[in-house]
Amino acid sequence: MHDLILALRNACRNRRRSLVTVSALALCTTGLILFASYVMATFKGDETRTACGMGHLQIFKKGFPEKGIGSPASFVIENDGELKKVLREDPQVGPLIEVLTGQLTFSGLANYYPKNTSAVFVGFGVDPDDYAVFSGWNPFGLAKPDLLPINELLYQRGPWLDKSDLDGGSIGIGLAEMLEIAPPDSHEGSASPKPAPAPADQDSSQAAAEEKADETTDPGANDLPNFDVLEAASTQPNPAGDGRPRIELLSVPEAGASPNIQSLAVRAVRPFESVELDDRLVLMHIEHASELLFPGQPTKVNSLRLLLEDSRDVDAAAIRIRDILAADFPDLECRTWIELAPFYEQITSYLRVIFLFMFTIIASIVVFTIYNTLAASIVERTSEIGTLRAMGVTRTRIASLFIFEAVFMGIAGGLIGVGMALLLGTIFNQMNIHFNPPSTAYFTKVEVLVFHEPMILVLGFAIAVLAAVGSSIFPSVNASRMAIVDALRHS
Amino acid sequence: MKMSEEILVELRSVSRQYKLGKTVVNALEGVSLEIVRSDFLIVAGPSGSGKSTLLNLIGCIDQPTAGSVIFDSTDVATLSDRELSAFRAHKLGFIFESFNLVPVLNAHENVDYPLRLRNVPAAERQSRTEAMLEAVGLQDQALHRPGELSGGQRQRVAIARALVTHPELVLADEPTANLDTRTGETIIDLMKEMRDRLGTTFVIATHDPMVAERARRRVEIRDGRISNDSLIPSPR
Ligand SMILES: Nc1ncnc2c1ncn2[C@@H]1O[C@H](COP(=O)(O)OP(=O)(O)OP(=O)(O)O)[C@@H](O)[C@H]1O
Ligand SMILES: [Mg+2]
Repeated sequence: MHDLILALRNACRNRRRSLVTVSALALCTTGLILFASYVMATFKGDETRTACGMGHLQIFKKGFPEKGIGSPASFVIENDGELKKVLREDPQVGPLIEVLTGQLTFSGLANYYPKNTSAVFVGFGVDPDDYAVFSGWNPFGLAKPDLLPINELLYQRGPWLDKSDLDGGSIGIGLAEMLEIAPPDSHEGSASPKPAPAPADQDSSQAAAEEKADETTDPGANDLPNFDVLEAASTQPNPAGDGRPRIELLSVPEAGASPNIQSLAVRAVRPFESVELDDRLVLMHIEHASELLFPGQPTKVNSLRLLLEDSRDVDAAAIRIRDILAADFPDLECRTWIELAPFYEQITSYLRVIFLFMFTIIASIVVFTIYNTLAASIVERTSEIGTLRAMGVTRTRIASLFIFEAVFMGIAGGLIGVGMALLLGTIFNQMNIHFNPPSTAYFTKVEVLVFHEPMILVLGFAIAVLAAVGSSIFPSVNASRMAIVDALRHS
Repeated sequence: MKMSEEILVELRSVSRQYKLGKTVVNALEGVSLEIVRSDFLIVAGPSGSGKSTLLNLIGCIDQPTAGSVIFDSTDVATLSDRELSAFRAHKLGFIFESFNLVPVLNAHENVDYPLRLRNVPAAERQSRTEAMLEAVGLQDQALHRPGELSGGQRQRVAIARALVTHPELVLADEPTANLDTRTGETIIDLMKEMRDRLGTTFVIATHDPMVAERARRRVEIRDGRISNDSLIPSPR
């Protein structure tokens, strides 16, 4: 106890040096926490986006992701109702489920007669209510892109589906562009100034036209949507009378069969989770999709999607579901989101490496700073060490005096660091910094999750203290092993 | 030397060499010395003669390269570092040329420190520290840190710190070197008074003739050897 007081007083004695050390420690801690919180936000953001887009788990006939889209009929799950019931009632899987829903995934050709355009599309037939729950899944309370003011123009026409609007659906912004769903005269005729963010807003219509041409030839070249087209699509009067453009969807349920046609009223043009989807996706009512592929038959699905309440349960759920499938549904397989979207893991491990790199640098700075301070303190107090040793203080106790001093600086630096991280994190979040993530059409808010993950704060603090202690051990033990006589001669 | 006087420390042909690269410095060569309890012994000699080296060996903070130091019937060489620390904490007190007080502790705390090392109960520590500060005339400066005390006052605190545990032996290496003559005299008188009052043995190294005058016994060393060892019948 007395040694602690002594160490504390010694830490306070050389005020400026201790202050510099504590500040360096605090800054490092803050940096570490903020970066970890940013990485965490990125993880959670990717996790949320991936889960919203595809769910945590998908069940389908074996090989569906590879070949299914070309012949949806041969991958129809015949007993989906029974399987849903089994899963919902399973004591292990059932309680984990947030949503369990069927989807019909297929491809076809979309035509827009007013412009005489056509494009290949991928159709997602989904249950509108379930889809809304999927899209709204946000367990980490992140700023979701569709709610950000900066993306307002992109998302202004939700909800994307409506249970009562059987033939209404939403299409990707890239697909809308290809189909030229915006008639050019509506753009020229519009005199009203365009709303704020519009990065594609060009003064020269020549330049705009060129850019548009670029995008049609290479849709992936620019991730940002053409806002002119969007705006026009959202505001144009509809030739069919209900205010919405209509596209004709043509699809073949399996090779060799004759194509079926359904008409879809475009409720909204919107970005999806990636530009690949933006260029192809037609999101429609499952009953409408089923009617397109299998006219006159009951609604069919070719995949079941599970959204769990907690992402951490994915592996446990997958194991159980695979057991169930192996026993009673041998022609079906189950894949996790990681298996379906390997990029999620890739990004995660990439960020981990960066974090480790940062961590190493910051930890080295901490270790060096503390070491330096203690070494100076020890040189200064060499004759004091000799005196105390002569008076009968043991080596261990001498070493602990200096280690305690480091602990105090570690605690002070750690606490200040945590405080600063909370403060700066809050300020940062309020600055509303946005960026356009790779291969998406919308902006995402750059967030740091300082308050969401108390573990990061605890770890940041612990690292500050541990690094301080760790780097103090060597010089302190060295100091305690000095020959008493030599220490006393030092002055 | 009277047979009735009990021997506290005995040096048996003690040598201490320092190796400086290839040259070897013989700081002490074959020194034998007996120190009896309650002695007031002055080690005199010119600079570099080996006074400090001798005190360090007696004080168990250095080991001889040859010979042995027997302290209170214990051969110091047989003790581990931990045992030696405890040994010093219980039997020895040190007074240094530059006072060597702990700068972050005030006078009271500095005097209290060796009692803590010996795990003396708080109440006893309090009374002993106060009594000791009073004995050296610093009861009013108890809460001053060393930086706020004069050289003489600091050395008084150091004396109080060395004596508060009632050690068997107090070693003082040039205790007056950093003080003016007047203050030096009072410091030596204070040590003598303590020796008379508590019966503590003192070994003081000095080349100050004023100090040497006050010795009960004077050991002179020259080039690492004892050149003269005399009892002074009636010291001042
Ligand atoms: N650590 C050391 N390394 C090398 N030589 C040393 C060391 N300590 C002392 N010496 C040498 O040993 C000899 C005796 O030194 P010591 O300090 O005992 O002398 P001293 O009588 O105390 O001198 P002074 O009156 O100046 O304090 C000197 O020649 C000194 O240079
Ligand atoms: Mg000396």
